Amino acid sequence: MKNNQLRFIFAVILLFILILSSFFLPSLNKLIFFNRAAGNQLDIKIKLQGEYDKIINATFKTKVALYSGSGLVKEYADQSLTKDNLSTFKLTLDTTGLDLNQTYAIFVKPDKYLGKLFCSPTSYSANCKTPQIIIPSGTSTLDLTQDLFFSGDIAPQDGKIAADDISKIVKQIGKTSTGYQETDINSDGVVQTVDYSLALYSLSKNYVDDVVPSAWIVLTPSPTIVGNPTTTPIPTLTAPTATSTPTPTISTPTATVAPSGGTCNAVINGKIYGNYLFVNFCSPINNESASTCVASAADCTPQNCIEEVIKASKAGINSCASGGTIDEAKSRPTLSCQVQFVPGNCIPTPTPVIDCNEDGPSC
Amino acid sequence: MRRFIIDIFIIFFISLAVSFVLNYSYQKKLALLIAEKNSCQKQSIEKKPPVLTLSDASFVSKRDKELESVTKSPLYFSAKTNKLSVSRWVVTIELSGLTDSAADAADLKVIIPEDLIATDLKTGNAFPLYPRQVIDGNYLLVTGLASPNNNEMIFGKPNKIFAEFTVSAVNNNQTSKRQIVIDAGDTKIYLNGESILNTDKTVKLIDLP
Repeated sequence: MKNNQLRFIFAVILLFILILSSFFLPSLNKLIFFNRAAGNQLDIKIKLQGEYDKIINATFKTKVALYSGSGLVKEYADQSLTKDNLSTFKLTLDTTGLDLNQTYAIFVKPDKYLGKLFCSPTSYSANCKTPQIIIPSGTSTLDLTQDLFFSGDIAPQDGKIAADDISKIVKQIGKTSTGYQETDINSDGVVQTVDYSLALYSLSKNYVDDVVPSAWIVLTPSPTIVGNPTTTPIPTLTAPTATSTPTPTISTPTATVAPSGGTCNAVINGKIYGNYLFVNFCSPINNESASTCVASAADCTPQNCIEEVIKASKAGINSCASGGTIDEAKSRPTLSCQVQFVPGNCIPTPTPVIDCNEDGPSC
Repeated sequence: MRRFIIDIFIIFFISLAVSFVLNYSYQKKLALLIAEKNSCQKQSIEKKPPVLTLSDASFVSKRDKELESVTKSPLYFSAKTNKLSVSRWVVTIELSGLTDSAADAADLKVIIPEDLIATDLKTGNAFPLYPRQVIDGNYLLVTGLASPNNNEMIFGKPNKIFAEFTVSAVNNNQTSKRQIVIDAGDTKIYLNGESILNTDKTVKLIDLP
């Protein structure tokens, strides 16, 4: 009797534990119920120019072409590029049937955007000379978010941004639709100055589709060894960087030439507000160090430092975004400079080159 | 003892079967609920009408007001050359057409032959904005755009200078005729999304005397 009672209690406890454990281990459950034999697939992640944090349903039809060193291997039309995270988008390619011992280059062209050619996650555009991407069997992810895709090539896409693209956008500004609009670059349902600004940025940079090397297009009769599989980087997950507004990076000023006196070191904080064709932007400056040569200690003042910051910001916006303005009235009160004068010989540091392609942080 | 082990196995398999059955229905229900939630979310997002911002509305009103005041008629590029020396010329490209017509975007692409070099590209006053000014080896590309300014939209206006540049010969001893070519494919004049380029009147070859 005692044995039977024990058996019963044991059975109840075991049953309870098993039921509970299977509920709390959904992966186990999925493993048993939902596992499917999957073919090979490659998830490609890319980063698009534009602010997509508030646009939830942005989807772009995308053309993808796979090249080996000896020519076009496979072309995928109308692949669905969907939002993955902020300005990162993802598309999935069925790579079943591809030669997995081959190395590939991938050309990706989303609708409304310019196409980019990748030989590896870090070797793209003009630097893409030899296909280096290995497509592993099973499911894998290829992170191509190292560089932005620039927009403005609206239908019919011709690989460049021209007067017709801009004129069509200007014509459509103000049109709203829940459906597809060729000039609604960021696919937020309304054609607006943001779309114009995005295209204008690409146009001003004279960006065009990446050119696929002619040797890959024309099939060569005697294939030679392409790439070096032992040194080919396997697609890796690389953390995306920065945001993707078309605002230029505004570098804080450093050094201008001064005869003697000393060095004025500054630590700058604040925000630079501006406007570029109706689009307001804000660029934060957080504890940025700068130094300049000054004639005397009297020249090393916070006020002079702020003037230099404003001047450099103006130079930045002028060189990167013609027609853009800095909102001095709004920016000045936010700026603060902690200055320190160091007497003695001052070695002027070169004025930094403003990288208009780099998207700066946003406030 | 043997009986006890058999009992344990029986209990184990029964409980396993029960838990799988329960879980299967649970997972199905869960998937349905997730699908329902996503669909509701999607619907609420899709139902939300896209909003036009104040600055966009202002842009639209400026554009429409300005469009009403212009006549849509074809425009073209014309060229003038001014010989500076035996091997140097200044080429002036003008946006030409009826005075009350206008354009909101224009591209000019000039092919420069190998024996010539283009330098000193300057934009004119035909358009308020010239976001692209490129001299790249064998070609020169200039884009002029309309631009909003205060309370009005400023379109490109004809009979004004579009661009001006200097062309120099690489070889001073050449005696044959020198020419630069307007790229018909990439030269465009647009107004309100439509081409207004008069291809017949647009200069195709520019002689450098």
